[in-house]
Amino acid sequence: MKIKSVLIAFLISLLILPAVLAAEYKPINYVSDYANILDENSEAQINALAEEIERNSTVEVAVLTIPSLDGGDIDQFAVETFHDWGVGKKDVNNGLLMVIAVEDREWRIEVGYGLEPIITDAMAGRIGRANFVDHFRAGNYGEGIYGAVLDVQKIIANDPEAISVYSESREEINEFKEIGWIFFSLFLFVVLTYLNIFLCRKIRTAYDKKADQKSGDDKAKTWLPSPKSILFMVILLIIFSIIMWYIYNWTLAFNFVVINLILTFPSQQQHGGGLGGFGLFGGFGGGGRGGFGGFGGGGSGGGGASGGW
Amino acid sequence: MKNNGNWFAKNWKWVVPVVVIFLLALWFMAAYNNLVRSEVAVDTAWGQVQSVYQRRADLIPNLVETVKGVKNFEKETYLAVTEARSKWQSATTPEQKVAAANQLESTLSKLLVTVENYPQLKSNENFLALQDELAGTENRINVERQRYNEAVGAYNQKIRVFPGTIVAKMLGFQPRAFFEANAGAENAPAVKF
Repeated sequence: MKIKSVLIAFLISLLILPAVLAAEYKPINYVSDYANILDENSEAQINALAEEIERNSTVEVAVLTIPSLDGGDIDQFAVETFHDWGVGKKDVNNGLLMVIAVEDREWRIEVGYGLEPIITDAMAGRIGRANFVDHFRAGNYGEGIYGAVLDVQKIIANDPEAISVYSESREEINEFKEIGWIFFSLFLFVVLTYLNIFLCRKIRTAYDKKADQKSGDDKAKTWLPSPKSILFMVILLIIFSIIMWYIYNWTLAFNFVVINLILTFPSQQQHGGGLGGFGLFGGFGGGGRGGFGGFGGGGSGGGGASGGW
Repeated sequence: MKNNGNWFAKNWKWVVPVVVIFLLALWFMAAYNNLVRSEVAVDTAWGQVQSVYQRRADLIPNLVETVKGVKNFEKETYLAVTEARSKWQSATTPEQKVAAANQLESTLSKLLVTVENYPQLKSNENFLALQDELAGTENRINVERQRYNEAVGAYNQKIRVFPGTIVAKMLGFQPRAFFEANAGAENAPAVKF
């Protein structure tokens, strides 16, 4: 069916779209070296140190190196990246992000809300000036960053204020939420699809009967649902999609309508054939990585310090 | 099966309206909750703006102490800051707060420009720390003000766009005011989330 494949393509493009529009820099590990200034050895060392910090104190330390800010402001860039990545655990916001913009020769240490009382702006400034400036001038980026992360570890030590009740990262927390969401939408889909098929058949039967009485023509028994049932289904879909739009957002509402249409129409001919469409939703739950488990969804509000070298 | 079919064929004239009304009620609830959530987000963001302004006001005595110790430092610059701070402390309405905060901002930036003329301050570790705190506070203010404006924008949009506007009008949701930066701070951060 041509229409069906067009619909599926449309649906898939809607699912992919948000990923394409998202930020340019994604967290790779604790260290995300987009500027390629770190050798493998020091990158592994810093990652190990950051992992140790998270294991001991649940504090999440992220490092991002970028080639250039492209004329942007490092403070703004850092706070946006922090927000996008969600560095730190969600309940206490105990994240810290170091941004190094190589061509601009600028650095920033962005401190999460929860760490602000522990690592004050003045301390962040001192950490940056003491570790970054001289090492970076000499081109020893690895050493400078390692020293700064080490200083952070010393300050946090095991400050109880920084410790989160979550030891898991966002991936797992989100997965749980997503599973809940998938079940809810599956439930809706199943109920609605069932309702549609059921009602279509009921109305069909009644409609056919009338047709039979009028003309006795067998050709009236096509697979198409009766006009009344189509109208009913369309009304149902519109109302449900408005609700979905309010609860979630328009992309999901569109997906919802499209999937429902795909599921309902073919099932008039081949019952159960449309169920394959559910597989599409498997994509929501995926994304788990080995080792580094993603950040915990913490926030920051512009605390920290920045400087140059 | 056939009986059921007849039942629906006979009764759809009232079943359909009942279902539609039920769904409309559901939608109304969802829309109302959505508006309340946005309104709470605006209030929370305003609270954050207040707290970062408080933070700046709390830093000023330290700053004044530090520059007082410098020989021949122009008195009037830091006296203006102190005065603006006490005005901010005594402001009660949001409008007064915003006006006083803007005055504080301009006097403070004047002071910081003056500081540039005193090289002995710039090598003072205490002053460097204080400068970090001040810079951090200004940055926080930008961030929180921007987030407040975003929250207000999202809320105002929701109460004006159809069909949410029906619910908003019925239940008396009012649009909120943006936080306007003062004339001295027209280079407000670009919104690009």
